[in-house]
Amino acid sequence: MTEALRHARYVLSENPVTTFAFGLFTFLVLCAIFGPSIAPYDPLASDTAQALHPPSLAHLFGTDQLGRDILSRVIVATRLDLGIAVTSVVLAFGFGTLAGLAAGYFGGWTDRIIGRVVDTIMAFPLFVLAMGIVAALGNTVANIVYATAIINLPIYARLARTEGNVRREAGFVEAARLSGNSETRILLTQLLPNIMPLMMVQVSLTLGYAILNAAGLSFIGLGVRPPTAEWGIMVADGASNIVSGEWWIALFPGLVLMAAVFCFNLMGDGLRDMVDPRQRT
Amino acid sequence: MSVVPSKVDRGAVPLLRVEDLSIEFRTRNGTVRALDRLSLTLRRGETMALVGESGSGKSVTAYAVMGINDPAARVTGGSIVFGGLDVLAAEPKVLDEVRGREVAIIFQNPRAALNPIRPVGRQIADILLRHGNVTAAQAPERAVEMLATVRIPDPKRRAASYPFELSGGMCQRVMIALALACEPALLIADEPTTGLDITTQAVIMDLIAELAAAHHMATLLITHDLGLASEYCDTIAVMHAGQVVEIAPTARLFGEPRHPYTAKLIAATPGSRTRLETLASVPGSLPDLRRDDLPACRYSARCERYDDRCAATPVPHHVFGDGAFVACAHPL
Repeated sequence: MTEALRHARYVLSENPVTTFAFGLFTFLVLCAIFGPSIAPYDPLASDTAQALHPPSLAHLFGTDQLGRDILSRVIVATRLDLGIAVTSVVLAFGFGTLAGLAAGYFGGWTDRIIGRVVDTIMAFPLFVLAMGIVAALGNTVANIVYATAIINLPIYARLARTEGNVRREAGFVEAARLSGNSETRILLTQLLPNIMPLMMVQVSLTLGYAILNAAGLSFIGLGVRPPTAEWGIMVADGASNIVSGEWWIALFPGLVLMAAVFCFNLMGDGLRDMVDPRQRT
Repeated sequence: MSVVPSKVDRGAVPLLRVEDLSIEFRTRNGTVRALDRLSLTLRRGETMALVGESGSGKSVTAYAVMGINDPAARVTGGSIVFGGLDVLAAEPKVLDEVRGREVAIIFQNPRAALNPIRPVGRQIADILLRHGNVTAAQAPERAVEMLATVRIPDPKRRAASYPFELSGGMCQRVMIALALACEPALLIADEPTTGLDITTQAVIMDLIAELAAAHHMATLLITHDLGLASEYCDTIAVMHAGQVVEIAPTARLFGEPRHPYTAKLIAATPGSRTRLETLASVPGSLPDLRRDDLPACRYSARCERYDDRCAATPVPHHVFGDGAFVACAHPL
């Protein structure tokens, strides 16, 4: 374990971009955990006397139409947005990877059934599919998570299938079989760790995609409902005010959203290097 | 941790008995008759070499003994009894208990046979834990001991190494440590030194021979190198196109080969005094094993002694007093 930590530190020190990305990620996670206690104002408290104030020392990001402090809302929204993204990616990664790996490794009917299910999901325009799922199941956070997970699942399944298929005849798999390991055990202890470096890059990419998707659903009114603080809703709220000059309402949540996506995408290489011992030179 | 009782009797005599084993593979391009009436026996502590050209069925034999059944493979006759266990009829669960514990295999490409992203010490610990010989706390320590047994310098540090950090020879030592971790009764070495340089080759073979002797382990060495086989094995079985043509004690086989193919092979093996010009070659090549009209003796098309007696079906099997065997209608 200490070995893994040492390696993680090495990866971070090696590449400044990775360090920056992980730094930003840590900052977002801290905001998610401590958001409500560090936010300067109550994110839900409206004060019409203070409505539509531009950024100032009292309100760094300005206030919205109801006089709510945008900075506080942006900070508090981190928990929800990050939570949706991480949970849905964990679900998609877990189910997608295992299903794809099984399909690639066992082949035959397993492959055919899993392959067709994945193809069916991919046949839809993914965002429209997510809209459909949320519209059908109802506007709850859990349903947004499920919808995001389902549209991300094919990426993992496809990738894991290919990698599993390539390695099913590998020498070490054969060796494991010949030393009395069951197929399931080989799948979990031999193949899964071997495809992790590749999957990790995908995790970071889909994290960004997931957060955009969640914000996108909220933006069109199918996600989290007002007055809950959420980046997508905040951008949607502010969108109509841009033309009238109150640019800050949409800009700041949009910037944070962009920074989060950017940070996740940059983390990919670092995550891969951390789970791949071959990078230890 | 539960120790599953052993599924095989290590004291069985002989330890391994393969009788009249025939296996075919169904492929898109026809049925490959990979093994034909193959018989051999291996006693505890005995070292036998399985020698033959590429494609003569050496590895298929090894895999069959391990009980691996390719979905395309079909056993059309015969039996394999290992330590009293009928391998061909055994349940997969039983075979899983036997593989790696009672019979282990060393491959020819050690680097590919090791998991690339797991430290080698952990891989040895894995197999120790799998077969219930040690507790989770003891496993890492035992793994280091195993690495020391195969003479890896600084085993404690090496246990944390990954396969890509080790040389080919070191990887093969790790493979041997893996194979011997559970002290199997039978070790199958499938071309263990192919791809290693000649000095490393000798060191690795010495190590296998020494450890096999120390643990009184039966060894089945699969090789195409008759010289290597003669140096390390008590008995040599010569294979040709899926048939065992001759089995004999090493000295006897070289002194008076009984099968024409064996005689040709020996003449084709370079020694210290042979010159390249005088080195013989075996004419012809292996017959296509997908043919429907394979002759009973698959060597007959290449044989200089071929006459009408050779058409006899099946090929007469002569067994001699010392356990030697030859499959030929009119042996030398």
